[in-house]
Amino acid sequence: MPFSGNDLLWGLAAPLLVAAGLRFVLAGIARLLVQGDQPDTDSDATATPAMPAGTSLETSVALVAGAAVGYFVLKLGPWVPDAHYEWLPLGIVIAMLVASVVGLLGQSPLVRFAVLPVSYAAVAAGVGYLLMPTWDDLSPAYAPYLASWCVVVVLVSVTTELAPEGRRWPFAVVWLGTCLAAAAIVAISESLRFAQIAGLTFGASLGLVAVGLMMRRSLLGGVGLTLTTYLAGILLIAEVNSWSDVPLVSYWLPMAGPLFAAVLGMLLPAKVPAALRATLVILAAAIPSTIAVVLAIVATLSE
Amino acid sequence: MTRFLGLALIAAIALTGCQPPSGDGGSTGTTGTNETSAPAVSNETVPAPVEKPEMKEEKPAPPMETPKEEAAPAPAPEAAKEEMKKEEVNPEEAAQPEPVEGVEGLTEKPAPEESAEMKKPAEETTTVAAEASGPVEVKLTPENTLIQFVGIHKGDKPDPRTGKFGKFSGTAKAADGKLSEVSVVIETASLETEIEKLTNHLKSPDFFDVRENPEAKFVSKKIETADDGTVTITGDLTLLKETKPVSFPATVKVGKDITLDAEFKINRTDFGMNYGTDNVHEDVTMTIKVGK
Repeated sequence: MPFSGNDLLWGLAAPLLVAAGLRFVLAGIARLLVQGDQPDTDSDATATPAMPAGTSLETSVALVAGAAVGYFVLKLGPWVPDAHYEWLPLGIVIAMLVASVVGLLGQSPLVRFAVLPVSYAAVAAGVGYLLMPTWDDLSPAYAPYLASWCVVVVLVSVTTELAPEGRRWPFAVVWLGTCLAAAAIVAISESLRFAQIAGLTFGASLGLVAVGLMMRRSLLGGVGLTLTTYLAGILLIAEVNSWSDVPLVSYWLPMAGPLFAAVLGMLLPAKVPAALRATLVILAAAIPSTIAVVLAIVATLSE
Repeated sequence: MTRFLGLALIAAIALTGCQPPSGDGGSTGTTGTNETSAPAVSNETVPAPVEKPEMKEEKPAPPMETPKEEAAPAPAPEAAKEEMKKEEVNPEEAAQPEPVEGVEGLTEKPAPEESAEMKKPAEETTTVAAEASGPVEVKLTPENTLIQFVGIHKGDKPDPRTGKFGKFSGTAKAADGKLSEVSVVIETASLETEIEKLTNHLKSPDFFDVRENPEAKFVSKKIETADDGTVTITGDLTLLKETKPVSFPATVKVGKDITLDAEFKINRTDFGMNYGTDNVHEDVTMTIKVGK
């Protein structure tokens, strides 16, 4: 069942425009209100730019707003959740709010190494509890599956927020590629509704990147918790509801991409040329995502 | 006194002559003995025996004696097996208080001479069965029932997609020759199409969401039979947690079995199946066949 023009309009163009427009407005307000909120220098792959306090709010709110437009116009889910997978929008909103508040608290060590990890872990636990179905035949079993999902979300979101690499432009490529990989895997697992929900992140993120480039701000800085919750959440509900032969590893590998990229960025010496550094960081995420998609395609060839 | 003794002697001789032969009433008698020991009149009231198919299989074409049976030769072995299957599928109907001649599949049974006058031509037996008025109940299973749906794409290429359910259970009941009740519970995970990817997609939350909604069911609430024999079935259809009333016409025949044939449309969005309305029509054609 191919996507219609309506799907492309509201699933790609509308999230892009809404996210871009809202970020533009929020960034403008931030510049007016916050002294020292100057353009970032994160187009320089080797620099470690500071992230203004309002960046998480600016990017996360715009991302969620853009996705929400597509979600509700395309009727991809109800306003009031009932089934386990219908709690994902609420979980994303919770993540957005927490990320925004924590981001506004600044970059002090206390915030970065205590408040941020603890609050992110609380979000992961809460959203995981909402999303994870309690079916008797759930495989893997409920407790280890939920625990693993929460650990992954916390690891990815905290690492991408704390690592300097997360604020540089190659990481925007990492996030965009991860969005596409997640949408592709969910589509291969034969839920087009979930694939569209995943695809909304690509359009919205693209809008954020466009405004970030235009206003010389961190392209996708501050979206770590929100985007991780979104993508890991959609991969989770797609996996448990899928009747396809897509292997479990295909649903997990895409989220390993941003983690590997952030860790590699921290490990690479500063003297590594910028182009090489960007290439390596992008590859660190692209390789697991590509493997995940290929595995999914191969597994479903016989269907 | 002499006369009395003479009468007693005559009476004793007469009584001795009327006694049945030794062993005649036992179960080990010959076939010829059985033919005479089953009075034809009992066929009108005694339910048709369930074990007849096995007996027929062993002796498909016993010697016929009556002119009527000579005119209606025994069916070929394959045909006999088909009739046996019918009997095996519906053992309960066989126990219904219907005349034996009204039960299909028993026409080739060797009948006693006394019943020859009651027998009717084979083609008439079906008619009699269709007019049976006793209570009839049929268990609905995938073996005797088809529950099928067809979705159609919008646009220039409709590409109709047909699916059906492989696991369900239910009953159809009739009384006084009319359908009185139909109910069925479907295991939604048993849906199948000819395309595996489509099957998986239909099972997903996009459509049937079989994980969250493992069952769909229909329970009739009202069944009306018009003068022309057309039956309208009204009932509650539960799908995706939504229960909505549906009404559809059906062709129903009530006899030893119940046969039902219905084709109607439901709007999937009435049940919350809203995904893909840009590409797939909201109306889904349902086909129900009982006694397929």
